[in-house]
Amino acid sequence: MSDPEDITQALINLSGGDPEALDRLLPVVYDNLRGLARRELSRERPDHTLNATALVHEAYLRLVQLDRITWEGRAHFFGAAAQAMRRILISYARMKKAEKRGAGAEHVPLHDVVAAARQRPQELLALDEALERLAEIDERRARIVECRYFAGMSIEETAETIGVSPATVKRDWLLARAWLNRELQA
Amino acid sequence: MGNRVDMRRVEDLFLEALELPPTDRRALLDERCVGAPAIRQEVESLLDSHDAGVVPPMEEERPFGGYLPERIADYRVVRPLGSGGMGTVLLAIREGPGFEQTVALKVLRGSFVDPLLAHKLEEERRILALLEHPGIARLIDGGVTGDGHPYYAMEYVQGEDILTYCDLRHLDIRERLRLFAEVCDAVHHAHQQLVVHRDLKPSNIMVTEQGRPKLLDFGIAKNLDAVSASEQTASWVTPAYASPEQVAGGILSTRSDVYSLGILLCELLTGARPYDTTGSTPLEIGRIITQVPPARPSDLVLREASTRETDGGTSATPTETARRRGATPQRLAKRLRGEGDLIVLKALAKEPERRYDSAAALADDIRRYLRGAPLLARADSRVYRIRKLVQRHQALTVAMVLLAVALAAGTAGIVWQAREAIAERDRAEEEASRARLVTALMTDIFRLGDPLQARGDTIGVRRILEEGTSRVEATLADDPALQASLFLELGRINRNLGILDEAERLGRLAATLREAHEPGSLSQADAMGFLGLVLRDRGRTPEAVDELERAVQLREEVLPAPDTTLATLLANLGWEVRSQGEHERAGALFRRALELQRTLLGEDHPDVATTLLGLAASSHDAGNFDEAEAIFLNALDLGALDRPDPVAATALVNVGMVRRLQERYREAEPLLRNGLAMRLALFGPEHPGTIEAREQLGADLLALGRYAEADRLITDNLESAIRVLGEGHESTRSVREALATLDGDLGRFDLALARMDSVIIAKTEAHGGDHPGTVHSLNFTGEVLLAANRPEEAEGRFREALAMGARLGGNEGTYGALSRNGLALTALRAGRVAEADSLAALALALARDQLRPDHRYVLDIRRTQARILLAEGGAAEARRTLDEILEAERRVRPSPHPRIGETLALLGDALEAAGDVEGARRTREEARDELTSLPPDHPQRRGVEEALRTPTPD
Repeated sequence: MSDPEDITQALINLSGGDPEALDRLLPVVYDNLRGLARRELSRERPDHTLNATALVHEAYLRLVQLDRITWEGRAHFFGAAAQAMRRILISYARMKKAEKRGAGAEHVPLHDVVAAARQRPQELLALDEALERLAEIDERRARIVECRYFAGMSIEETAETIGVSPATVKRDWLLARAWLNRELQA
Repeated sequence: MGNRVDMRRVEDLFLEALELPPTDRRALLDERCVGAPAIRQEVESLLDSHDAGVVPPMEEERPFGGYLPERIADYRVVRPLGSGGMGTVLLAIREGPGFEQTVALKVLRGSFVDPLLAHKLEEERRILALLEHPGIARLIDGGVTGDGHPYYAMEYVQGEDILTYCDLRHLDIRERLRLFAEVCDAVHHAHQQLVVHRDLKPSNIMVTEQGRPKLLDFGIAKNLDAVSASEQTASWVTPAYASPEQVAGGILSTRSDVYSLGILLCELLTGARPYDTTGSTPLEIGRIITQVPPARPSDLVLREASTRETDGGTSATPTETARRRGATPQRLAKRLRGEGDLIVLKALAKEPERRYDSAAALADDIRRYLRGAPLLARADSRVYRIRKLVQRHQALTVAMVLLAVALAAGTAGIVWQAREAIAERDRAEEEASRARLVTALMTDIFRLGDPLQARGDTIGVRRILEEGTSRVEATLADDPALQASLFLELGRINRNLGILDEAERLGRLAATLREAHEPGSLSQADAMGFLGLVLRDRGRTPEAVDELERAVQLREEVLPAPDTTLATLLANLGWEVRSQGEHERAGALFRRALELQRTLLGEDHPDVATTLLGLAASSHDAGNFDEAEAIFLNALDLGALDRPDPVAATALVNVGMVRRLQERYREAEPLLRNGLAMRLALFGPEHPGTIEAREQLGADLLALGRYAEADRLITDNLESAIRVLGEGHESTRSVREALATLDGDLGRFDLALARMDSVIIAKTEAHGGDHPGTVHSLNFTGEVLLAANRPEEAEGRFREALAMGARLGGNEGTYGALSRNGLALTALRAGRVAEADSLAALALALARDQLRPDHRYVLDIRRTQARILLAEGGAAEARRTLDEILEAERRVRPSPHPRIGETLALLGDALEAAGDVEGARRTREEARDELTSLPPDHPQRRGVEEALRTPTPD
């Protein structure tokens, strides 16, 4: 199930209430995103890499037949992509940490998770753990961070994916961010 | 962290605090977290980590993606100043030709793509650009950044917010009230332009190092709404300062700002806001604001602190609060009880219609309170007035105050009058009372000399004057003749100090008294003459004419023979009549005055010169100018120019003006600089005389093309003019007109038009219809529209000007020539060359009839003719004309100068048309050098650059 036809069909089925469609969908989205992410992460010049937002949207354009998809299908795709991105970047960060590299970039502002995975793998791994703790307290906020930070999705896209209002996303995002940052300060 | 903490409350408070600028957050926590330290700690720790850490805000939440751009539009970004709910504020510098301007650049968070909204913001900005008041941080510019964020460039104000300012300096109630009244003045100015602030709060009111308040963000709150509405989020106002109608979502008006001012006033006076909202939810706060009556200020100062005090962010005890106001809690309460309470509570009325009508009315009552005059807030009951009178009779005697006035203002005449007053009243007691008087006087002056009590010399003098005036008003009612003389003297001192509103009030009082008690006397004529002069200073021409005419008439009736005072009255009347546009009648008045002055004073008297100047200004008669200049120069004791002298200063400014009007700009400059320096030393920056000198020097610098200095000088002067003379004054209009000219020259066409349009409206209002000055302004807007490449609109303006000129009748004046010149240019643009030709010829004939052959208007028209010749193919003749123009311009203007550049650019075209490619190139390079004082994107500069780049065909 790697060509656009199949993915699109899976998304349509998912919207139609077929839960198994998600199991089929995730690995494909994952593989595709990983391919894209690897390409970016291995670039020599980090200042020209695609950011998380661009990666997810590129995968979407590659995998989905846009004219057949509904907003529901789109939401499913982005939900899957956010989870996939998190897994890809965390496993990359583990590898990076094992290589014991990535020091010396302490003062570069890292506004994108792809750059963070390259340059501060340790930090990203700590975030992953904190996000697990947040999920235990508030599952929705953890998912919002996944969408926003790991997949670079906008407030509106996140709201669509999770199925809440943009105002709620905005609020939860601010709170989750402050909470996580405080957790990670200690 | 405590696990009993109510997380819901923590989260709500955290989100609420995030909406405020960081500087306001502590106040919110102070208010909501009393008795809940755990909650406060929790919220603070969240606030500390919210935008710093591993998970940063996303791109869309940060303008410029978290990286400071080096430039935004025309601005170089220096550093961030702060950020808040609305967006980010940056310190930035605009660099122009020869100048640097530091601004606070506000980049709003909302991005907008909606063209309607962009248009709306543009409209708003035009209005805001007109908010020119010394108490309002100027909006300099605005637009949309490359990535779609709206931004505003505001005047950058260094200072402290008003509460911090007052507390750090321990200002007493009097000083706080004065400062607050100035804030009201600024708010009122904006209200008059129909701009409501909607978010007045201490952090929006800064006090500069000079101790002047400046309001930030005027009109921006509204635009913020517009932007955030597009994001579908609720608008935000600071709840502590929000009015009931604002909380209830009702209609906001200028009275909503009056309410916010009331809260601020309460806080300034008592250190606390009038409602206890400790620990309340937003909903409860809404209920409190709309329903609970506010506390009395005099009670608040005794109440154990529950609401916040501003400095240090901690709640202060009543003793500490009072100490910061130089008092004890009991004394503070006593000071505020009654009238202080009354003013604050009237401003805080729940129903807008029960509040003060306007910020000006609030300021008025504050000043009455300071003077001890009856309040408007109080029903005008008889008992109240009597009690007021009794209060005012205490302590000092009238004569003592007069002595204090005399010493402070340096006028000896009053001392004598004071002695006379005493002598008349009680000769026997004279010696004893004089001894008592001097003792009391010394004590009083020492008290006023206390740096905490008096700030700066003028304020000291002003204060003594105010005290003296209220004593004279209160105690001399049974001796109207003496009271009138003292009013007149006090009026003169006020006029000399540039305090014109008070001078007018006193002049009126004197005139009224003398009309009632000494009708038909010379004294009455004197009072009317003085009043006329003050009205003239205040720019109220029709009233001034009226008063001066009556004074002249009475004086002529009473006097056996004309005297110099009559001559001065006639000359003053002449200037006013000239302002009304009646040049012929003005000329006649000046001639009569001149005749008297020459007979009574001699040929070389400075008064003769001033009158000659008036005559020259009324008749464009160069001979009179020269004569006036000669007399003034004669009168100047050239040896005495190294120290400030009022007579020398006047002569310098007048000669400078004469030279400027004769286009001898370079010769005028040193005299005007010298005159300005003298007046600054003599009167300080805030004085009508200083404003006049700056006006003249500014116009001269403008003519010399020295834009950077002119910009600074004229901008400062406009602030002073508004503050000292007021909006309605002719000088204020003419300073604003100069600023519009500057904008026009520098290619800031929209700003120039907006400014000049407001001048046109003001002129029409002031003159009640058509006026030669208005024709001039209309012609100017036509020229700007032409430069901005909007020829159809330009034509409309020139036609309007022409029609108004025709309605004014008689000699059409130079402006008729300029309107036709403009129409010739628009016709030429439209390709109607023959029509352009005949219009220009008529314009030239009209101009030559009245002006020197090398007057700039004549040269402007001849330049138009050169353009027409070029269009007709007469390159050789165009070239001859342009050479002559160039020669004349080079005589009066220093290089680089845009006028010379314009002529050279045309000459380049003429040379090219005649086939002289090399000559055209050289001439255009010269033109380019002459245009360097204009901004790089000025159409004229771009035109020349382009012509230089384009290779000529062959």
